[in-house]
Amino acid sequence: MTELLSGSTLVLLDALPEAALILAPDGCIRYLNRAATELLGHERSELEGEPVSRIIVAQSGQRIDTVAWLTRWAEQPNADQLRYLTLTGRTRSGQHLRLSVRVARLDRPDRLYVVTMRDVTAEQREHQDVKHAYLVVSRILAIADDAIVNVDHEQRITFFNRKAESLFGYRAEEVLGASLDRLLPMRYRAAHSGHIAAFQRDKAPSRLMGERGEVAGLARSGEEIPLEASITKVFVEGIPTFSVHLRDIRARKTAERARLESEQRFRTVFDHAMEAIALLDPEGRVLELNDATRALLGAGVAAVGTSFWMLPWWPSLTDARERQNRQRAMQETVERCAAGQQIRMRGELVDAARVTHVIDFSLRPVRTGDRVVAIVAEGRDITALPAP
Amino acid sequence: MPRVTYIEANGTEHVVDVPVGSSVMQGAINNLIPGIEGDCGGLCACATCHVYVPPEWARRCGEPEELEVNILDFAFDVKPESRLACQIEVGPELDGLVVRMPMRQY
Repeated sequence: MTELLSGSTLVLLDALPEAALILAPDGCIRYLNRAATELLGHERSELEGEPVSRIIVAQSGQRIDTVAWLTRWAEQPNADQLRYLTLTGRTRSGQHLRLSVRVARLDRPDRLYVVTMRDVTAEQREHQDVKHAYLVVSRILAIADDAIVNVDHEQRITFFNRKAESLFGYRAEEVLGASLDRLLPMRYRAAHSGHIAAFQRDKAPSRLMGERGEVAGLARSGEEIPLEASITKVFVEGIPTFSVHLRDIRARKTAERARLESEQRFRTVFDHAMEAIALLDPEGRVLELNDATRALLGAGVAAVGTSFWMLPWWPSLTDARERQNRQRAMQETVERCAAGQQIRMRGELVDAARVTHVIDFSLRPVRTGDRVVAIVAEGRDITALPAP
Repeated sequence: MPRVTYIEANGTEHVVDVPVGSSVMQGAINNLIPGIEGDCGGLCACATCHVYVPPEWARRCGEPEELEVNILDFAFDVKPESRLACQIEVGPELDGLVVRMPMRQY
């Protein structure tokens, strides 16, 4: 067979770093070069004259007719197919290799053709691994609970995840390639590119946005959405990409407002009550007190955090021993309440002007399960109340 | 927008809306659905977007052209209902389409 090829052609073939086969139109192997013997682990003599199906095989469920495809490509090479399709080679030891092939017909009457083969097994595996890793990361970003928008160095949108779609009301394909401006309220647009440029020069790789004020996005509907935003930059070959993570804080803002309103309403009632009311922890320290209590204690008394009995309830009392006795009695009363007892008693206070006030005083334990977690102290001045 | 269900070989289902005019392969790629590779980008040159189309949808997907039938030679576990997803264009008549992916594309 080989005498049909000139000696210089064979020398050239053997010097090739790529594995090469010369096949007859019926798929019979006429020659294989040195690189091919090394790739496949066969001696040349073992394969010359054998069908190419000895070394190029179909895999599970493949219906490929190798000879038909190689012949077709020999007659009419198809660059796209040859770039993307791989054949499966089998070595002498039975190992399978992914082979990228090139096919060229020799200009001879016997229509012999050359198949060069490159082992792309590792390359293909690596490519698959990269694709797989990309897919995993992309899916994580795609379904993340934050809206994620990536922009390139010209602030064109390059990534827009599902949460961003639902937040802004655009589908990804509608905004990919568009300017980030589309997602910004008009009044922020002029300044925003300057902020991005400043961040690009900044040493920090990422930062929380809106340190100088609120961040808001503009939805397709025209609604402005208050956002919490952070931005990260990644430079690839000197060109930055920015990734912006956005969290819709409308619900949080609404909840905050509702909490504030509720707190204000409660505070209004609390501070306008006729009774002096104080909230104590189970150790008897003051947590909260209302205006009526402050009035009773006199202006400028820092009560929060102080033990209830240590407050200046008896400003005109000069006898230290007497004061101590009263404080101890009040402490015992608070301790009884902390142990779970509800207390109501009539007491007397003498204010700074030495006026005596008759007080309807109560202590009530606040329980969570069996445990007393707080104490509500109330006192109402009933001095002026007519006797029943 | 037509809704397409992609079922991975392990049974995981992905239900997505695919714009009219794009291919079933592109719908999978854009939605990051595992199991369809589409290496050649839709040139009908790589056989890595192999799917199985149930018989009840086969006719609505149109007849495969000769090139597609040929390239399917390179796909794995080929069956009579095998198609290349890049060659199925999504139109309103494919709303509700279900395709299954094979065990392997390489």
